[in-house]
Amino acid sequence: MIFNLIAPFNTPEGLGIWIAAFLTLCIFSFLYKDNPFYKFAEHLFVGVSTGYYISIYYWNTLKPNLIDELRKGFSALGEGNVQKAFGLDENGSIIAEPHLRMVVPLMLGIFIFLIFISRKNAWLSRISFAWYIGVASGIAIPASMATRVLIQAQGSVRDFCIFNAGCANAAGLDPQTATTSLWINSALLLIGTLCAVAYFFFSLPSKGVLKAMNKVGIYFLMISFGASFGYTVMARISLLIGRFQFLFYDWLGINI
Amino acid sequence: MIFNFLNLIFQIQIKEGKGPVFLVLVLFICALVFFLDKARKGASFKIRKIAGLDAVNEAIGRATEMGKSILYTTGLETASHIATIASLTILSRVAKRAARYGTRLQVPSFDPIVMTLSQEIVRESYLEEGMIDSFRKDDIFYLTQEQFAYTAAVEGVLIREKPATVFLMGYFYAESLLLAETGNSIGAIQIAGTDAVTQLPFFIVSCDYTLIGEELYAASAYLSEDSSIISSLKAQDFGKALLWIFLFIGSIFTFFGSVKFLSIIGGSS
Amino acid sequence: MSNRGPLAVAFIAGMLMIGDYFLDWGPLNSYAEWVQKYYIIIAAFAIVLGVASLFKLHLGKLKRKEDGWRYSIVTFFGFFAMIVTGLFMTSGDLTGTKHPWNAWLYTNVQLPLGATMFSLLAFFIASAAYRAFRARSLEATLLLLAACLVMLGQVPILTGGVFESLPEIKQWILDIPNMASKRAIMIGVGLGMMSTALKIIFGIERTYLGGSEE
Repeated sequence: MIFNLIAPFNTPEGLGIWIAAFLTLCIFSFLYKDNPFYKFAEHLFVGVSTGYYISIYYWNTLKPNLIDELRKGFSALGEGNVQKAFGLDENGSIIAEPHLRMVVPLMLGIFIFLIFISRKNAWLSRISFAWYIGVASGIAIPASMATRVLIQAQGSVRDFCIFNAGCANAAGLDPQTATTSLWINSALLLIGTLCAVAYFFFSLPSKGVLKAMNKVGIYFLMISFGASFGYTVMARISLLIGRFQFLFYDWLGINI
Repeated sequence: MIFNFLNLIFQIQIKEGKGPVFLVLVLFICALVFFLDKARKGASFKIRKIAGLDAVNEAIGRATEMGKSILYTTGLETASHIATIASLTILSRVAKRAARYGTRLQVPSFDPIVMTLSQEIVRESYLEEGMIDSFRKDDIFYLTQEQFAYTAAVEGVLIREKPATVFLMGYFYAESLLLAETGNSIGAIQIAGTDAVTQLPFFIVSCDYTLIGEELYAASAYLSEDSSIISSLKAQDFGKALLWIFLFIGSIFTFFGSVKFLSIIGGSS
Repeated sequence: MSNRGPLAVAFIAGMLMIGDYFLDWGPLNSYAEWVQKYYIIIAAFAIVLGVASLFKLHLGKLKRKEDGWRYSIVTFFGFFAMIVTGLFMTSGDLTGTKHPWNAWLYTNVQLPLGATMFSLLAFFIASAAYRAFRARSLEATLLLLAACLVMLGQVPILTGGVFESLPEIKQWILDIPNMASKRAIMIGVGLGMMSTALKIIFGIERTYLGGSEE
């Protein structure tokens, strides 16, 4: 072990390291039990992170997308250029800069606050929420169908394409020689997928063939969960090693 | 002006490659409408037991008997995430039962819009149960939008308030294990539900009951006891059954060299 | 009665986004692009609500001198430190998160706190494994076995004989049973998401809107 100087206290960088080390130990103290040090670190974290996000939202979102656009819009209006003020060109087509069209999200944003001012105006805030959630739902429907359902179905069917040269070429895959292990693997993949899908049938009682499929499905699910669990263990340990490296090397200057 | 408008309408074109998605969507909507119509005509639909959802009443009852609170978290996503919306609909069912039994319900929120929606939903649930005077708006609060700051704060709430029942419903990231293990350490009964595939193993290992993927979306229908809403589960199962048959037959035909099934779902040129 | 307007708005908003996915039409596609900006602006407004809630919670604690009220002062201190350095201070051209003091706070307070919370997972994963890996049923045994095989396959500390195949076994587990399950879960989730989203757009599910003006 080689001892270097401990991080100097009297420079901004050194002071920063001491504070980071102190806060790191405060969080680690939670492993023993709840204590004033953890409570201090937790409350500081909440305050600092909320302040940080306000800063981000203002400089990255509100100022460039709303405040500056509205300012430009009112400026154009002041010059008498109504079309430009609303983000339209001479032909009435929409241009990239929205200007006063940003009044729409401004109003939707203000409506959200109304629920706290008066319950009589709560219906206006519900319009904002309904729009917000309606848009999210509209985006999610084709996206979930394409990325979660169809892509998985494609993958399942494509697994069997590799055994046939014509099919493989059409699907953009390399044809493979049909070995026993490849057959078994493909069959297991299909059986596992079908049985696990069958596990999620809600409106059919679990009897007979479906019961057997459910059992097989749950076995596949458990193997998958175990595999995911085992796969992430190393990643989590490396995070801990990272913190120890900071404490030992950056803070205490101990090279191990 | 009418000419310009018509001209505009005639400019509409269908995007390439969206055929399979459109076909499946239309089939699904038809199924939804069909089963909804059946429900409105009085048909009742039986749903198989989902252990985690059957345990909801038991879990709330446990909190009531112990004189402790329920903690409900809607996950670490915004209200634009469908899992969060599903969690909010489950929250309304849980809030109704909590109101009925007079059990305190705390909802620490990650997102301010989710917080506002949660307040309205819980308030409405208490109102429907005739318990509006018991509604505590301060129990539904915002913490922060930083992942681990939120986790640290919720862990603090768990350790200090020691709720008897914890619901972890929504979309979670790496902090799922932190929350679930802390809940476990205080002896709470935990019911989790997420569609985050990477976090399911941690919930399975640490929680008493876990709703796996689609079960989260089925939960609100299951708990609603409203046949119009339950009819959507029949539509989901219909879609699944169609897909199951397609995968089975499609795989066999593809094995023998057919490209047809792959081209139907857009998997080949 | 009071929710008819919002339900109509949800329907129109949803259908426009579905339309944008399938249709190539200038006005609709432009609208869909602008929706992304509208969204983040509404989120930015909503943070004010969040901060109001946070203030109410902690001011209430301070006022009533509730258990742990002193820590609320710490929250306010951290909050205002970030707000002042991030919103009101400038250093030449540097403002916001680029201001040296704000960046210093972020690097030496927020980042280490987040990284340390993340690192707690190593301890929690060990405690979860210790408690859960008791093979009480076939399902639990399969979970335990798969986890052990994948862990050993990733870091081959055992060598020689049958242990040489551990990396291959690990890869097989990830490629076959794991892939099969993940596909099934994704398919179910996709259908579930579609169903929930359609219920919202068609107004079948309306609990998210809350309720009355009472």
